[in-house]
Amino acid sequence: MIRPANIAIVLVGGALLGVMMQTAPDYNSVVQPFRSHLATGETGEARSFRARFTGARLAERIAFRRFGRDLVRDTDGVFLIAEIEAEATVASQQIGATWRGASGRDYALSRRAQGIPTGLDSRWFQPGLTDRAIAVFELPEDEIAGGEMVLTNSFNAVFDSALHLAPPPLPADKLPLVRIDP
Amino acid sequence: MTGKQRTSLLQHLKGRLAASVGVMAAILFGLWLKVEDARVPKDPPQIAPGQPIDLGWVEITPLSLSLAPPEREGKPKRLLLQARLLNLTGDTESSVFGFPPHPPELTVGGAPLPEPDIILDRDGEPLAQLHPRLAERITLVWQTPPDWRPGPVSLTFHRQTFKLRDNLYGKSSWLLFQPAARMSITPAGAP
Repeated sequence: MIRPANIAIVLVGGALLGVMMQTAPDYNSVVQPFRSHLATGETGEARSFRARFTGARLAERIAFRRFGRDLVRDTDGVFLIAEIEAEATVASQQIGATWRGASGRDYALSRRAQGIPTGLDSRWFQPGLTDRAIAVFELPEDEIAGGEMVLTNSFNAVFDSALHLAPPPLPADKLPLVRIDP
Repeated sequence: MTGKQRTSLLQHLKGRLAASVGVMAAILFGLWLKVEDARVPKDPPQIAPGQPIDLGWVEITPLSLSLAPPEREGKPKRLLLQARLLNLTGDTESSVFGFPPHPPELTVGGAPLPEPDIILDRDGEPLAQLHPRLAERITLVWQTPPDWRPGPVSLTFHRQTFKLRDNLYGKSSWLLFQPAARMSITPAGAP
């Protein structure tokens, strides 16, 4: 004869296991950087650098000179040219950037704009020296409003800090061509 | 043991036996369906130019295949596949045809050609990355074998399987490649 108490224990145990299975975070949401969200104009303090999002321009096309060649890049979306002010706090280092769009998608720095003068991808930041750099993203237009720039330490920021910087007020119109000069 | 007791035991056993046989039959039938599914090789559907195909990471729409003259004197002729590529993931991807890369496979006379170069039409340079929601026109460039005579060719597109939670860590993973579509076509410009 099975007593009702035993049945109740099994049922409660099963329910508890079910709740634990449903609420346990999965691998992808556990293995993440430590985020800090910053309002417009604030300086973010990461483990090994501090940075500020100082300005943004929108462009239909960008022009720059690389390896002695003049290049013009166009896009079906829009180029977001973000200006950053940063300094390392521990040792000389590079800083990685992505744009988290309004839809939650992550946009990497545009490799079509690799090698631009003062580009973030080639910039080294030194401890105690504040330096400026620009990051160029290629995005669909509706990913800009409501998006944020994510600055991280290096190529892989898992279990390191990530600064989520809200953009400064964005220009209403996009420029037909932006020339990026040294 | 009385007669009444024996009958009830027999009936009891009959019920359990019937249930067990039913469960076993269901399990075996399910297993057989799985074996049959894996045993019979599925031929991927034939598609025509202009039809989009989901390759896992990206959606490719082959537009046209053409035969082009060699890049330089003394080099073989080239086969150019114009296509539209759309990133379906939530990140900018640099490995658009999966990892390890499985770009469309072009077969001439039963032998697959080496991997093509992937050119971004907008810049005329190799495609370095593809952003989500920004479709790009690309050209895949194959060098034809020196003894090849222009004629119909076959293209196979591979899809990589995505699993949101794998069995080891529960992390998202890209797993096996499977043929997703096939296209038989005669390149434009072939005599």
